[in-house]
Amino acid sequence: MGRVFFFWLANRPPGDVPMSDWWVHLDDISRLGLSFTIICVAVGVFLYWHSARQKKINRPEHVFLPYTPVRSLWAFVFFSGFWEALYSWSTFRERFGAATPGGVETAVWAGVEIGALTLIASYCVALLATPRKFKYRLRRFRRFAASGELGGV
Amino acid sequence: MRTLICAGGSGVRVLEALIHLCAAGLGPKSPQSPIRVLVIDADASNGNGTRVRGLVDKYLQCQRAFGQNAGGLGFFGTELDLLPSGGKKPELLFWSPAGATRDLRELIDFNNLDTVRRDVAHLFFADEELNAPLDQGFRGHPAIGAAALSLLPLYRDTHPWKALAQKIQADVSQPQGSRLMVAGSVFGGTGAATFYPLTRFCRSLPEQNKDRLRIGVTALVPYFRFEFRPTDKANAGGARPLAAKSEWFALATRSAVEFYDYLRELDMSLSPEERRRPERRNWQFDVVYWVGDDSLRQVDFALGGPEQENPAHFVELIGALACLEFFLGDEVQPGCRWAGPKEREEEGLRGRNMVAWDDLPLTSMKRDRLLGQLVRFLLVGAVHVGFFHPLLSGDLREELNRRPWYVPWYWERFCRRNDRLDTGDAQQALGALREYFEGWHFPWWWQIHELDTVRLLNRAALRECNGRVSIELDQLTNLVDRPQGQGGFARDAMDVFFTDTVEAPPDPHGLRGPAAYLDILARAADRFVRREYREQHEGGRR
Repeated sequence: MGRVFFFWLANRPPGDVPMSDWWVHLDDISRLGLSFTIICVAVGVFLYWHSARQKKINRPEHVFLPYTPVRSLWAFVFFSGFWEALYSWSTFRERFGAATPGGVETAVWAGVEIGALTLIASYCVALLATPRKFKYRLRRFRRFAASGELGGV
Repeated sequence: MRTLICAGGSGVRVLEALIHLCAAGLGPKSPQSPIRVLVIDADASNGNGTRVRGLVDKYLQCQRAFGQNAGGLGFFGTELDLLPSGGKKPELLFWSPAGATRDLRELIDFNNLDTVRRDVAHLFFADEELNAPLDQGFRGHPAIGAAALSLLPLYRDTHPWKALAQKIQADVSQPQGSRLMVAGSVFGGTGAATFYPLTRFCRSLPEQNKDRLRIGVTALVPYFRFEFRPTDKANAGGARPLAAKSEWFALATRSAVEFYDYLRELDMSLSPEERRRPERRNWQFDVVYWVGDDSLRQVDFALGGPEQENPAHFVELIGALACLEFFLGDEVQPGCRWAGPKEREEEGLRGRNMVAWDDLPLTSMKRDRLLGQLVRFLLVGAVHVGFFHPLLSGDLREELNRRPWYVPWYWERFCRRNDRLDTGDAQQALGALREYFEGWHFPWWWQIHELDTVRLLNRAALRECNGRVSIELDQLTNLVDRPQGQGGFARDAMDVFFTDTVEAPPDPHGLRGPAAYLDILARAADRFVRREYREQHEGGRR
């Protein structure tokens, strides 16, 4: 699974790490990353759904208030990426030793990939969980993903 | 085909109530069968008349913009035929039986009568009645009005009677015939003077198929009183003021009822064959609705003119419902109709005459439909005035144009379809709708509910400020007066309604602009009422 998940790293073991050990490491971090993704998507979307349901439009000016429920999605995207990176870095050091180069690079790649996966999965599930009165608010979320803009979310 | 002739100030206020009911979609909706409206009042500057004239203008403005059966609920769907002449802008027509004459003396050409005829005139009219100026109505003296209206056949070839005669003639050539309702009070001046001469005149209008003309009367009996206070204007010249006095109302009503009873008795002496011929009958009416209230409402005294502007009253609402029953019922059931409130059993109300929804006398109209339509219309008004108008036309308008998807229906049904609500015409229509609700419809309900005995709407939901009335958005689920323990305040009611605007099904007719906007609100109001006012619906069905 790890070779599929991290296909661009699969044939590039750092230093003189044997290929079989490297694949075991990739399998390990991809398994855990997937677990992080599932948990973070589930918890993040639940919190998003709950928070979106709590958000009311009772006055005209409420229409343009920031759509704060999206923050819980972002929090869990960051959370899953960070923990995946941390786990990857610590298991790399444990498995291949602190002197082996490439631990940080692998951790960053793992964090980014799992974060991105969580982001995409959260977005798709959140579309289903969004109250219809806010159905177009995730546009900003999508736009942020493309441009890095945060304002108004 | 329907015609409503309103006589005097009370008749005009029945018209006011009827316009509000038609705006709420309770009137006839076919464009081919409008309601013809004519007002008979010698006092054209009367405050009641001025108010209704403004209301009719506003109604027509809203009807042009929104009267396309929005949401299938028919708001503003009733066409009004105001009998316009010579391509003039349609406006409510006030016809004065006094014409340009200054007083009754001039009207009957008293000074040129021979001595005998003068003496006969003096038998009926005192000098102060002969000299009373007619520009402010008949001042509670139906004898003056009856004399003026007995001349009605002389006006047959002048506007508006000529046009009305032609239209009624055209109506009776159709199998469904023509229905003509006269509304007014029997205790004042103009109304009491009008019923008999007018209906007798109208009976003479069709040249054939006379039996296809059905005539109804909404006869208001006393429901308000005032304390007579001679004003400076009334005392001008040191003369004793000729004015309506509410202590005479009961006596005037009794005299009127005795007169109509006499007409019925006269008809008893006719043969069955003659009784079938309308032109032979003395009792000219197919149906008479008697409406009044024994707890007379105190109003300010005014001799006439702009100061005479009485607050709306539930009696006028019942009068307007009678008009709709007469116009819309499948068959006209001949006779006299009246009703009273049922006795209340609730703790604290025992023995009091309260007016609740169940007390509104209806024969063919369904009570749940009446209540449902009125609540839907109030909801539409409340959310338009309190929420969407500020969003679409106020300070937030620019913000909405920048981020239109924040209001999903605006994005889907306007922006994506290249339709706009920020054009000059659309903004004008939205403003007119707001004016209608805030300046006319809600104040009308507010005035009706100033009486403690009226338990139709929840008074706490209405908020008055400088003559303008709005509905609190957190009271959307609580618009109807309900028994204690049922329904109530809901802080997020507007949020629920907003969701309904998003989830309401799209209209199948491809409406655009302001009509599409009202369609969205109407459909949302329909969903909202079916969910939040379910027990009223079920209660109404019982």
